[in-house]
Amino acid sequence: MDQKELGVDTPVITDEMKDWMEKAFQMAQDALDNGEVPVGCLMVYNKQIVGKGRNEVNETRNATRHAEMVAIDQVDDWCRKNGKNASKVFEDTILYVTVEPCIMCAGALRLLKIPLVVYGCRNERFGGCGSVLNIAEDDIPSTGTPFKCIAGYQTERAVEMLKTFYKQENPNAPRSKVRKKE
Amino acid sequence: MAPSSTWNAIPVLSLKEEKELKEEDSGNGPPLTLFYAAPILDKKQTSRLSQMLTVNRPFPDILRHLKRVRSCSSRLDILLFPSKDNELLSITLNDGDPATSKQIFCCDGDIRESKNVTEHKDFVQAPSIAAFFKDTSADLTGLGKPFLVSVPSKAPKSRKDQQAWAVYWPTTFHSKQHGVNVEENSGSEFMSEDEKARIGSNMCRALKAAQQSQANGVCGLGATIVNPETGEVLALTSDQTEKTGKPFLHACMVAIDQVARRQGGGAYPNLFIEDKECNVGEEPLNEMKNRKGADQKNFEKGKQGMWKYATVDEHEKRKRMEEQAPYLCTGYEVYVTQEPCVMCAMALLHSRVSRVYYGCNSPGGALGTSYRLHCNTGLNHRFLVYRGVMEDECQKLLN
Ligand SMILES: [Zn+2]
Ligand SMILES: [Zn+2]
Repeated sequence: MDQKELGVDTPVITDEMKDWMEKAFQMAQDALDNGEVPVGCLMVYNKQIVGKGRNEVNETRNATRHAEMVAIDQVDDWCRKNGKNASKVFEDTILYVTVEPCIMCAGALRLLKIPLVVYGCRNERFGGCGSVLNIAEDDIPSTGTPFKCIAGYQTERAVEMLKTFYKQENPNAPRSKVRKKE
Repeated sequence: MAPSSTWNAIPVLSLKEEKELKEEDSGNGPPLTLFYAAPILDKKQTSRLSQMLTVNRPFPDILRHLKRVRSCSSRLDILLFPSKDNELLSITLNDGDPATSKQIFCCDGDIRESKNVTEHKDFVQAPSIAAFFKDTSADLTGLGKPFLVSVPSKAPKSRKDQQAWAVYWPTTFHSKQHGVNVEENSGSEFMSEDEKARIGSNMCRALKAAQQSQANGVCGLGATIVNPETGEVLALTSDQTEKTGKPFLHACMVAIDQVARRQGGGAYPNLFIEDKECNVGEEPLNEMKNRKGADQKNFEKGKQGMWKYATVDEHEKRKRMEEQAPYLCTGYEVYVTQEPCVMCAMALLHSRVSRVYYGCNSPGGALGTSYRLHCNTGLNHRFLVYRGVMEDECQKLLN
């Protein structure tokens, strides 16, 4: 692929975007400090935060309550309160999230026609923006519109938080017992 | 509505399994590999020879599915070792008895097999049995002249395969413990009538929800989640996108949240009470009323004969959270009139459902059409998927 083409296809991260990502990272840190999954996620429309989310899987007992889905609900509520047309707002909203959205969330973002997602580290287990599947860009009929991604902003920072969390989560991880052969 | 019986539940397999199945269906039989075998001339030696060979010439790991001995037109044959064993092949080439080296040995009586052997005519050598085992002190009493035979090079995935492949050489069959496999996924062709009726009546619930929804002028799409152990209906809903203006409230997403509410959680507290249309049917109501224990307290009959969720007080909620209830949707079955989209399919995967039955395929569907998420080896959970359940009725609702 030639450079020019790349420039058109891949949006470049702006200083404003970096500021929003900083806020997302602060949210992730807050979550970590409170023993929650350290994923920060916010949705920005017209230079203001219209939705924020953190993982709510445990308290809702609903495995689909990822930070992105919670933030999407908040945007919806914000639109109702402010008399805005939600589908118009979503089409103009950027998602900032510290970890690559999973396949499910990527699907939801397509349905909402979110144009751009800025994220930190890859999600090797469930990633829907290229890691496991590329829901963001694939040609999928009847499934909203594809969206663009700016990936890899402060990857190490996002990864470190997740590592710290999973270490806390599993203090007594089973030690592999070495059996002696008789 | 009685479930019509014209449909078939068709397993949605991985691409690899589908390819394998096609190859087998095309009559080409299993993939084959060449083995040296020898007739057992003295049947009293059978178990001794079998033990001796197991020690001296164990099967390679990938060929462990082969049985050592077969019975072929009243005589016994025993497998020696794969002809691809280079070291041994060189023995046969260098030390082969010139008198017999052009001779082809094969089991009489089986046309398919002799055909397969004949194809390899050019490089078939006929070494003496002693030459094969000259590096050991093995007692070869009772073994006849070795011959080449084509045997299945992989393990059969079903009893059906096992039977069909026996014309080459008998194999052992072990059903797999987990994942999508052809045996378990053999479709309604091998489904008992009772099982088909059970699947049909569950799909009828989803259909009813979809029909009611369509009668109200919105998308005719329904879903239900069932515990197959008890037959309990844990969720029953229709697509809620048009009613709520939330484009992600597809039937499966709402159904998953209904299950979460039953476990003391849930993310959409207002949805079910406001929405009467989705809570259709007396069947689920009766089943829920008949349920024993704390669950019952969470439901009460609505004024218009519909069931609805009653308020769960905080104490009860916390108590329930601490109970050892099945977390998420582990072990549950999902019935949905249309193939789930990628968002819903992944939501079902996150929820750890065990099976999904759907009616008709949908463009962009992620359980067979655009993706096959349920058998993606990159993901941490796999489940079985069947399509075509009451397909015509489900399709009609979308037209
Ligand atoms: Zn997600
Ligand atoms: Zn869906």
